[in-house]
Amino acid sequence: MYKVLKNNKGSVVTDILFYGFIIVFVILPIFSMVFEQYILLLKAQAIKDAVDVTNLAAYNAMKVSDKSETKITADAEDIKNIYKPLLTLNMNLNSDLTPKENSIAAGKVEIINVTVYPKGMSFPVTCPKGGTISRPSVHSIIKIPIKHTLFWNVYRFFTGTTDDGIKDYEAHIDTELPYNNPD
Amino acid sequence: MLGRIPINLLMLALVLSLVLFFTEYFIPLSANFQFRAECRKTLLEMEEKNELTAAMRTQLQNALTEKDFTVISISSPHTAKRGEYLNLKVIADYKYNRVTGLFKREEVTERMEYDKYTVARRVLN
Repeated sequence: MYKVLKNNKGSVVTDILFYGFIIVFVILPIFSMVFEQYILLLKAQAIKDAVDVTNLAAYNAMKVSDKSETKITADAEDIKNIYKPLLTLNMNLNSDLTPKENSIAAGKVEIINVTVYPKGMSFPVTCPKGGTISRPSVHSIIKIPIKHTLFWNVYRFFTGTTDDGIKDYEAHIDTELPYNNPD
Repeated sequence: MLGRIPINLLMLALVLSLVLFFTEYFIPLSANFQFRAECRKTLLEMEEKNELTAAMRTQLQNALTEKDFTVISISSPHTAKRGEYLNLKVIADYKYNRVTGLFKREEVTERMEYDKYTVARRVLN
């Protein structure tokens, strides 16, 4: 390597072009890709945290009589009435589930499914997404539109797409109730 | 003769500083992850105990201070009846050094906020 560098053959311009090539076509794409993925991962984690806290809170807010021997799904109006306000608070949404300023969601959030598996049931059971539930839990599937962070405008400029860059993220969370939960 | 060594060293230095510049973007993201994890721990404790006590606030404050957070503001201690809402709002600053220009490095402050609600646990009689 030292011999190659010490050699005066070839031009300095070629060297500069070589490094420029590495910066533009190797370093920049790799970092932007990793950075974008990392931000998306953190967003997904933040969404999961919010939904997880909401699941637990919704269970606590339910009437004791609701915690029966059969599972309770989101069709029951009272679950929706309990779950929705908590989700709007924890995800910074308006009452119609559209995002407020600084919300992680980039569009209207959709509650696909909320199912409560109360203590009275016999476990294990399988949730609608195929997960095994072995303890009293709250299962939820929430659809959250999220926006790509980097280079979307550049991509749109080059491809001419009219897409707004918003993709739906489906958060599926099964929250087990803590062992010391009194209910 | 030195040949092409100086220009290669210069370009290598440029590439390395670019790598450093990009890597430093991950620092606040990682700090935010730790910030949320600490706050979440306190929120779960609040849910279990139906209150935010002064001791819990101090514990959270110490945990965040250990992780280099400053100007920490935590919601005041409060209690809720079982079934009522409990709120934890934490705002903190995270200061770190970052490359901000050519041969320029300065302290940057990133503000982080956690604002989540839970419901106090109910008691079965």
